[in-house]
Amino acid sequence: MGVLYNFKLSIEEKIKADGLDAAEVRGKFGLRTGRLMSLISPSTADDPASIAKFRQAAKELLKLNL
Amino acid sequence: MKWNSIRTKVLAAMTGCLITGVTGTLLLLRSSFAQNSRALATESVNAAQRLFSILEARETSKMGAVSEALATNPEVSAALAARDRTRLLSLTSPLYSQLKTEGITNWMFHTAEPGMSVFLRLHNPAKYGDELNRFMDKEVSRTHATVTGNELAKAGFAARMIQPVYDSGGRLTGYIEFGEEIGRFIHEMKSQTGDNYGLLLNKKFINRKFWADTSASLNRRDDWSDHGHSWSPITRRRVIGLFSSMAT
Repeated sequence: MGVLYNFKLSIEEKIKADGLDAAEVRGKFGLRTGRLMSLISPSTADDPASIAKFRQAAKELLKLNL
Repeated sequence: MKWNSIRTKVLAAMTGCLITGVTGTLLLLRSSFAQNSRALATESVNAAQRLFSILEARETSKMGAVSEALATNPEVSAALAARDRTRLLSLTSPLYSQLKTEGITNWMFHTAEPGMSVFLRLHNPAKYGDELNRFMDKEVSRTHATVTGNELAKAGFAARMIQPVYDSGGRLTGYIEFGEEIGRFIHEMKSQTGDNYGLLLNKKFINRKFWADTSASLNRRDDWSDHGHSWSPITRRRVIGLFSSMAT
């Protein structure tokens, strides 16, 4: 537990650092991963499929290695 | 026993005082009990109202975050603008599974005016093309701004949010709507307080046929006549219970 939440924090940081439209990026991640970042909390269970999807989406959308 | 003896008179006076005292005390206790019961009941209802407002605000905020992320998505907007239902469904259906687990039971896309109609129901993809004409639809169409509220519709009584969707050129392509059935709130309130809750609707504001149709579509018994000749002791109005039994 906590891996997806840490991914979320890293993505939020990247959005802030690059000055991107947060809502738009969150939407893109949502459609690509089937998980909405707004609904990920520290208690969200980590499932391997979502972790893999987030890694892939972060690389493609933000060039971010999670 | 001499009735006019001093002893008898003193005893009678003492008995009289005792009866008066006991009766007075009992009346005082009864009044105090009724007053405390009223105060507790009022406090309980007020606490329930506060809890409902808190839950409603939390869920509305959640729907707002979800709605914002999707309404600004170019792929969603493009699919809606192109009236490509298949594309829109394939884009959004994986996300619907997650939203359902978060309590979002209704998710719809509407076409823009003229003829604002349901373009896609994620919770029932086979059904589309109908015009809902609900108050919230008219309001979002009039203002082109996000509208939130509680409304009784075909899918049940729900907290809802409708937001306009624009394309990159700022043109309105349609609307996105999320809803969360009130029944979930009621269950959560019960789990937090241990109290039972029900929801009463004033029949004056409900269409008879609409109630029958929604009961059929929700597999709920049509209980319209159950309270047809009775008045709610609470509201003094002709009412119908949205939930036939209390939340368990």
